[in-house]
Order: sequence, then C-alpha cells, then structure tokens
Amino acid sequence: MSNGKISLRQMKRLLFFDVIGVGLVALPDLLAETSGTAGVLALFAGAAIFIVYLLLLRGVMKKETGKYRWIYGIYGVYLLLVSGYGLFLLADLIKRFLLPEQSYSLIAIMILLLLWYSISGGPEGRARTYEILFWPLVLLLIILLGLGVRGAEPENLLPVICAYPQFGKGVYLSFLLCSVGQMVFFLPRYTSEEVSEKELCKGAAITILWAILFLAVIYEMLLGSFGRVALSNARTPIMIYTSNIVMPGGFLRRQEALIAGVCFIGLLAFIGGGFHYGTLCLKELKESKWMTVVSLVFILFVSCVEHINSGKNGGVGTLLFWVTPVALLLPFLLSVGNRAKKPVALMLACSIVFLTTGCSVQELEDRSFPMVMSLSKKDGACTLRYKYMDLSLVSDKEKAKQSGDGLSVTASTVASAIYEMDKQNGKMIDLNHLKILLLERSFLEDEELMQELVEKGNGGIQLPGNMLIFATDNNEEIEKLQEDMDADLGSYLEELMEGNPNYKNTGGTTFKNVICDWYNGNGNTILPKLSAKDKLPVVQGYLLMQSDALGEKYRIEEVTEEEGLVANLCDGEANALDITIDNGRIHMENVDVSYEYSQSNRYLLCNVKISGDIVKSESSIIDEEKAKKEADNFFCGEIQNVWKKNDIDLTNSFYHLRCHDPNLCQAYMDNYKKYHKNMKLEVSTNFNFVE
Amino acid sequence: MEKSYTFTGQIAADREALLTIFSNCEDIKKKDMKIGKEKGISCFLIYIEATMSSVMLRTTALGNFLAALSDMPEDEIKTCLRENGMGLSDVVLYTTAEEAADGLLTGDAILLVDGFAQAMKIPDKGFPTEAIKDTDSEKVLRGSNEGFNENVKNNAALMRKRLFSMDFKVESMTLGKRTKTLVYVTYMEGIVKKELVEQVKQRLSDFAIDGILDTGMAEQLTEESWRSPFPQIQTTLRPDRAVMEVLDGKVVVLCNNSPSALIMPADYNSFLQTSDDYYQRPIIASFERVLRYLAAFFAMSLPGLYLAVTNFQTGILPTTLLLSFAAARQGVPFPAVIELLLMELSFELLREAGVRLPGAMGNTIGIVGGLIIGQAAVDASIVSPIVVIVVAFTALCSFCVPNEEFASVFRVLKFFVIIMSAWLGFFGFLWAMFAILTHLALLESFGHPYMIPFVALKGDGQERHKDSVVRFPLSSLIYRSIHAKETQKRRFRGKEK
Repeated sequence: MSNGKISLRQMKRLLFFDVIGVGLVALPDLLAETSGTAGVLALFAGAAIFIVYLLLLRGVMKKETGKYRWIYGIYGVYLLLVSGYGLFLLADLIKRFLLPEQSYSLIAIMILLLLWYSISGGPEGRARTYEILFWPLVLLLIILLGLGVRGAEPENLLPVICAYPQFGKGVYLSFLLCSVGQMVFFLPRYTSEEVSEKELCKGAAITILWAILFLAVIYEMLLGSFGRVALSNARTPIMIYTSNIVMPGGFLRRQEALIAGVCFIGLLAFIGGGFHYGTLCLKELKESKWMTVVSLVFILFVSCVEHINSGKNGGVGTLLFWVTPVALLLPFLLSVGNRAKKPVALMLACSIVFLTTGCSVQELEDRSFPMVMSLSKKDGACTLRYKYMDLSLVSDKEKAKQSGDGLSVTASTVASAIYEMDKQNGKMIDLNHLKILLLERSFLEDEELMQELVEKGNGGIQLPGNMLIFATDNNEEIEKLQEDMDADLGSYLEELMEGNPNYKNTGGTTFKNVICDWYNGNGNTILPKLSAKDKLPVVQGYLLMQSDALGEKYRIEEVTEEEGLVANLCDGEANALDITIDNGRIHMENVDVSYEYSQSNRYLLCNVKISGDIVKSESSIIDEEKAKKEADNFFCGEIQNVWKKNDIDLTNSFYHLRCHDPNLCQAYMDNYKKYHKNMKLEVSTNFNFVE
Repeated sequence: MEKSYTFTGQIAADREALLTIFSNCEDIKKKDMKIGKEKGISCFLIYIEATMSSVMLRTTALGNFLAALSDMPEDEIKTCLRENGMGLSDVVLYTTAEEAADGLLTGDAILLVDGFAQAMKIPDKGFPTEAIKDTDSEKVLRGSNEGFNENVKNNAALMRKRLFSMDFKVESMTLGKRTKTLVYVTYMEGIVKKELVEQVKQRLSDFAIDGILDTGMAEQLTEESWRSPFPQIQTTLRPDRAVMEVLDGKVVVLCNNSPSALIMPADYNSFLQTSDDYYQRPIIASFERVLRYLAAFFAMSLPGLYLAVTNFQTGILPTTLLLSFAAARQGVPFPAVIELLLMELSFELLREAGVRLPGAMGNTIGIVGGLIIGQAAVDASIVSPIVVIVVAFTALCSFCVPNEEFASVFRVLKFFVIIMSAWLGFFGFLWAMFAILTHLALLESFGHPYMIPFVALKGDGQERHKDSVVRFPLSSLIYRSIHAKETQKRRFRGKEK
C-alpha cells in the first residue's frame, strides 16, 4: 500500500492543480491582452501543441542512465527557476490580497516551510494531499463561478473568431502554461509498475485538457464580466471578480479569501513540483544532504528578485518565457531515470528569526468601517470624506459615533487623500465594507482624478468593486442628510437601488462597472444622480459618462431621469419602466432591446427594436392603441432627441455592434469617431397590451 | 539471575522456598494443613487473600478439593493428585518455585503436598474486578451499551458471545517484565491478513518495559509515529465495535486490567464512526456522520477562522454582522487573540475539572463555569459575547467527535490554528490547515495510509468510499475494509436481482 509510488489518479490530480493554480493567477490578463475574445481558442491551441509534445516525450521516458549527466544541472536550475517564479506569484498574491502589511520575505519563507514539510514525505504524501483536496476545491470553484455567472455580459465575449495581432503570443502563453506537464518525464519512477509511459502521457494529456477546459470557462466568465481591455489591465482579475460575487442570502460579503485559498493550494502544487524535481536533478549531479536547503534558498532568492523587480519585463517571468522551449527539449537529451531520496534538511533557523517579526494586527474595535466614500474636487484638489454607520444601530452597547466621522481631507491625488485620511483618523480605516461611492460632478469631470481612481480600483481590492456609485452636484449636501435619517446613508442608498423594481440584477452602477467601462470604452456608463428631497436622498436624473479609452474626448453629460432609464434598459440593467403621459401613467414590463445593423455606401443604419408588455391597470383610462402609441413616441422621442441635441447615443449601439456583425465591428473597432459620424439611428417599438 | 528452586516433595524445603519468595508480603496468606483420612499428610496452601473465597466453603472448587483430600486415604492421595482424580479442569502443575510464584500472582492458589514434587495451581474467584456494565463513553442510541471491563478473559468472552465462529482466534502474550500483563491478540482467521497479525505480535514483543498498566501504554509503544498528535491505533470500550472490526479484517488487542481494546490498524475515517451508524437507517447515519465530519473540522478551525476574519479579512463578513462584532468588542481590554486564548484555556480547565471531580460536582463545575463565570466575564467586559459563542460552539463540536482521544487532538490543534491565524490571518489559517492535512496524508498505520479511503484506493478499493463520510445502505457495503485478506474481501451477498 505504502510504497513510495503514486497512482495515475494522484498524478492527474496533482497536474490538474499545477495547471489551474498558475492559470488562475497569471494567465487571464495576459491572455486578454494578447488574444482578447479569441483567448479560448488560444488556450486550446496551446494545449493541442503541448499534447503533441507529450506524444514525443513518451518515447524518451525510459528508466536508463544517459551519458549527459551535466544536463541535469541545467534542468534542475530551470525547474527551480519555475518554482521560484511560482513562489513569487503566490507570495505576491497573498501579500496584495490577504496580508498587505506583512513582509514579502516572511510570507515566502512560510510557504517554503510548508512546501518542505509536504515534500519531506516523498511524492506519495504530496499526492495524497491533493487527492483529498481535489473534489472539495473543484466544487468550491464551481460554486463560486456559478454564483458569479450572472455578472458576465455575453456581449463582451464576441467575436470569438477574431484576428488579434498577438494571437500567436496567446497560444504560446497557453503552451507555456501546459508545459507544467513536462514533469511527467520524471514520473515513471514514482508511479506504480503497472502504469506504463503510454498511460502516463495519456493521463497527462487528458488532465491538461480538463484543466484547460476549466480555465477556458473561467476566462470566458472573466471576459464577460470585465470586457477585454479592462481584463487585460486588471492585476489578478480572478480575485477582483470573486470579490464581487454575492452569496445568496448575503451571508458572505466578499469571497476573494476563498478563491485565494484555491490559488494557494494550486500554486503550492506547482511550486512543489518544480522544487521536488529540480532538487532531484541537482542531486543527480551531486548527492548531498544540503541540496534540499540549497534548492530552497535558491527558490527564495529567485522569488525575492522577481518581487524586487515587481514582475516587470526582464525578470524571471520573461526569462522563463524564452527559456522554457529550450527546457522542454532537455528530457530528450537526458532520457534517464533517477533515485529519489527524502529531503532531510531543516529551515527552522530562518523560521525562528521570522517568527519573531511582529505583525500589525488591528483589532476590530480599533478599526473604522466607513459605509460611504465621498470624493469631490475643490480648488483643483481632491477632497475625501467618509460617512460611518452609528454603532448604536447594531448594538445598544456603543452609542458613540465611529472615529473619523465628519473628517475631511484635501490632497492633490486620490491616493494621497486616502493616505492622509488614514493618518488623521484615530483608527485604522477598513474600506472593505464601503457600500457607496459618492462622486461629485466636479470630481467626475476631472479626467486625471477619475483615471487615478479606476487605476486604484483595478490594481487590487482595497476599494471594493461592488460598491454602488452615485453622482451628485454637491456631496456635502447629501452627506448632511444622514443627520436626520433613521438608517445610515450607505445602507439607505443601497436599499434604494436594490429595492428598485425596475432594475434587473445589480440595482445600479457598481465601481467595477465603472472600471470596466473605463478601460473598455465604447459605451455609456450611467450614474444615478442624487438630490435631496424631503430631507432624504433621491435619484433625480442621471449622468452619462463616456471614457476616453479610444482616445476620444472624455465627457460627462447630464440626462433626465427618464432618459437615464432608457439608457439603463438599452444596457440590459433594467427591464421595467414607468412613464407619465397626459392622462396618467403607463407601466411597461419585460422590456427587451435588440439591434440590427445594415451597412450602405453612405452610412451605417442601426435599427433599435424595443419590445415588451404594457401592463393595463384598473384605474387606467388609456386604451390599448393609445398606450402603444405613447410608448412608441416616448422611446423614439427620447432616443432621437438626445442623439440629435446632445450627440449622445442612449442605446449604446457601438457597444452592441460586436455581437451582431464581427466584420463591421472589426471595421470600426479602433475608430469610434468614424462610427459616430456614419451611424444613423432608427427606433421601432413593439408592445403587447397585457392585463 | 537467581537460581530457580525445583520442588523435591519435601514439604518443609518446598514451603521454605515459596515463603522466601513471598517474604514481607502480608497480603499473601500461607496456611499449613493436614490432609488424608488419618490427617497424616502435611500440605501447604498459599494464595493472595483477596483472590480467594473461604477455603472452607464447599461451594468453591478449592473448598471441595480440600474437603475431598481430607476424606481420602493417604495412599490414594498422590495418585489422585498426579492423575487429576478430582477432575478439576483448570489445575496447572509447576515443578519450580518461580513458576508457582508466577501462577500465584495470576490470582490462583498454590498447593504443596508432602511427598508430591510438584506445586498445584488451583483457580478460585481470582482478583476482584468490576462487573460488566454499560460504557460511559461511546454511547449509542440504538444497540447494546455493554462495555468491556478490566478482566481480559471477560472481555474475550464478551467478544466470543457475539461471534460464534471457530475462526475467531485469541492468542495470548504477556507484556511488562514485572507486571506480566496478560494480553490477548484477537482476530478472525481467514479474514485477517496473516502479515498483519504477525506485525501486531512483533510490535507488541519489540519492546521491554517494567510494566504495562493499560492499553494506552501498549498503544504508544507500538504505533509508528509517536510525534504525531493523531492516534494511529483506535481504542474502543465496546465489544460490539471490537467484533465489527475483527470481522473487517482488523486485529483487536485486549489487555488485562484495561477496559479499552486496541484496534489495529486505524484510519481517520474509523475514528468518526460509531457502532450505531450500522444499526440505524442509512440516511440518519449518513446525516450524523456528515455532522461529525463538520464538527471535527470546526472543533479545530473555528476560533482560528474567527480571528482571521475579524482581524484580517473583514471583507468576508456581512457589514451588519461585522459592525455588531466590533460593537461587542468595545471596552474589552485584551486583543482578540488573548481574549480567545483566555476563553479556550478556561474551557479546557473547566473540562479537566469536570472530568476529575466526582460526578455531581463535575456537573456543578459545568454550570458554574458555563453560566456564571461566562456571564460574569461578559458583563465585566473581560470577553465579548461573540467569543463566548465561538468557544462554546467549538466545544460543542469537539464533543461530537465520538472518540475521546481523537477529539483531544482537535482541541490541541485548535491552539496551533489560533496562533497561526492570529499571526498571519487567513493565510496563516490556510497554512495551518494545509500543514495538518499534509501531516495526515503522510501518516500511516501499520503501513496503510491514515486517510484511507480518501486516498490511494483503486479498482473495487474505491467501494470503501461508500462507508466514509456517507454511509450507504448495508446492502451496498459489499466489501470489507482494505485491511481484510484479498480472497475474503466480500462480506455481503444479496439476492440475485
């Protein structure tokens, strides 16, 4: 039973985690940058090439000693480099998302200690660990992704077949990811006798295909959620994505820690593979009990170098990018077996040194949890304020306000304002529970400040992607309303949007929407605008924001409440609408908007078709025909008026073009101005009258 | 080594040899008597006082024996003794004084008869022992609650009572140079792998120690990795459980003076199973097993998770819940980790006090500790109410683990998880959990992975999953455990459908 060998199933599960771990953390943004919507094709193409490689590798997986033992040295160093890069990815992920105040080297050393322990029992112990973890983690991943699927927009996934200039690089990246499977070369001596080389290679190929399929689904969901440009600009998008997933019942607010756990385990498998086989190769050159320690130190060194380099070009990542194809040839030169010895060296001394380092834990009561973040611009600088929930609303023990309420900080940039606020506030400010971001029009109109804000949001999770965004003319006026309100401002505004029956899913524009729209461009970002009415904040009108992702002019335009709702309908955010006419109100439900494009010599015709149900109410005196006519007048009037008057396309037709006509989309992809000039907008409606 | 004394049949010399061995032993009674019709033959009876009923009572074997010898003509006595003419079933003859002394220490009487060059060991009631009674732990809702007692022979009989099979074998060994503790190695011949029995016997005889006073000592001396907090040999106080295990191809070791039997080999899964899992309907049994698995996880992880979430990854919790935690902590003078450690240690103290104190007082400690001290600590703002809830829930979880030794492991590891989580937050929590899981994956019991059936099984071996977290219907559990002989792996055959 216990024979130092692993089974084929254990090998498959280890390999699956190897690929998934790196794939989740490192691949999506790179793939979006190189292959965009065709990323799925790139993934499978890379996997297919690697399977061909596996077929070739099968021929050299013999248990015999070759002549060129020095090649082991090269191979060993390469595998340790791979492991070091994996360590960098994992330690960096943990530092950025879980322990921002902890030292990088401590995190890396703790990971290495764990790795050393898991390897110390030979390959069997490690394989058993991943055998146990396989289903729990796969199920967790599936549940998390399943919950997040409704946030993905199908429009962002199209066109799948599209000629991206760097598509080849995307395929190569996918191939590099699959190259983790080259470790199968070492496995004949670790798998039970009845498993042949053929079965090993077949098993590896199947596992890689499954892992790639899994990654492809994840990539599509990320792409659907972020959009191509935003995804390519995001750093570790899977974390940002999961931080926006809402569990049913709202029990867990943000799930990035759970996905961090999945990445942790996957990357640990990846680092472990490189470390184990790298050390094995080096031991083939020189048998020494210190070889394990030397390998660990080398891995740590590589990861620290990459950390200092901050993952920029020219680091270990780039080196591996170029060196890996050469390394893939090494098994053909080697084609030998090896003996495995248990690593015996300890790294306790290092751990003791680092165990004594302090960690800056802030107790719960020493933190402030702002609900509302308010950003405005005054005298050319950024002004930041937070609004807190009065703790007496959740407990009768504490009557005092949370520290920092009413504090206002002005600085030249958003980052420095946040930093300054942290300094001035008596307690640590924990932004994890921000619900609302109030953006004053003055701030919104400053493109540089907005650019800085979205960059900050895209680089990590310090600012929650799921907070709702509201625009105002004067933030202070809205903030003051909290004094007369029973609930706190954040919760009130959140409920205001979530309780709005007209909205479908999100109940408003979130910070992540703004980030994605900012990077992807081409579309309208609709921000509800708050005003004070009867000492309560209400949505009166909308601001339409168009970013300059394509080099167009960044603009903010105000539209009426009804125009804003039409824009929301066209964006798929809402599906119901009430309009006021002379004789009363018309309520429309199940409103759906579809687009048809046709290109002529002179212009591009966009026909926007709006359909739905007009619900007849008992008190209504409007007849069916009149109601339909009113609805038609309303939509055509609103859309055409804004288009002609303000040059604003409420239907967001350019954004929808990509899923209707890939060729047309390709023609206009980088030339919004031309599209804008050539486009002619037509609106037709088709409403049913229902009881 | 002292030279042994061989009985000569000279009663004075033979008597002296035994008296020398048992000098200064006031608990051992020595009686000179005369037997035979004419009372012409001297004899000497020696025994441990508490192990004998009255030798004059004719209701006991020894009493009857002595009475018959008293009425017998002198010339017939020796023949009768030599040929066991009295028909006593359990008489053993010894030729040396040392052997006779060992025989006496097992709780039987030794009789020397003048002119007869052997000592006779005659059994009587033996050492005082507890009656067979219900078990205090490993309680079941359905099925017998009969438990082992301290007599190894009784314990073997309790197993035999449930197992009318000629294949049930009981081999004896003695452990401990001075205690000479009687140990029974029991197994089902034909089902168990021979190597396993040999390995068990080998391990039991691999060490030399003064005394083995309980199976716990034998357990520690025979298990593979003493560094591991996890027990690699399972214990049970229940004969039905022991029988279930021998039927599964495992070896059960019984030890004199210990009510717990050792089951070898053991795995993680078996520690979370109870006897009545198999007596109840599968859905109920499965539900309870899932609860136990979850309880085992939370008994170890919940306090650490609480710290990781409240001190580091606050974003996970819903805002209202988080703020109510924050409000509850207002005024508490200690950091959360100290507060939690204080409460956990208090709980461990209460548990220990409850165990050591006599029954009624033990219950009082629970009430005083849980209700009065807990409430007072919250009122005095020494701890926050949420920590009390976390500690109480963790304790509840640890009580759900059916095996006490196994539950203790989770209680100890909980502190490791707390420290790692307090230091490195959610990363520390993941780190600790992964380290524990890796340790479990590396652990083995008698050469078998500890995490069976979750690892290392293939082919029909994977059928064993049907009796792990979920217990399938009995008709689906067609295979014995992986420890059983390959040719006897099938334990159930249903009707052909």
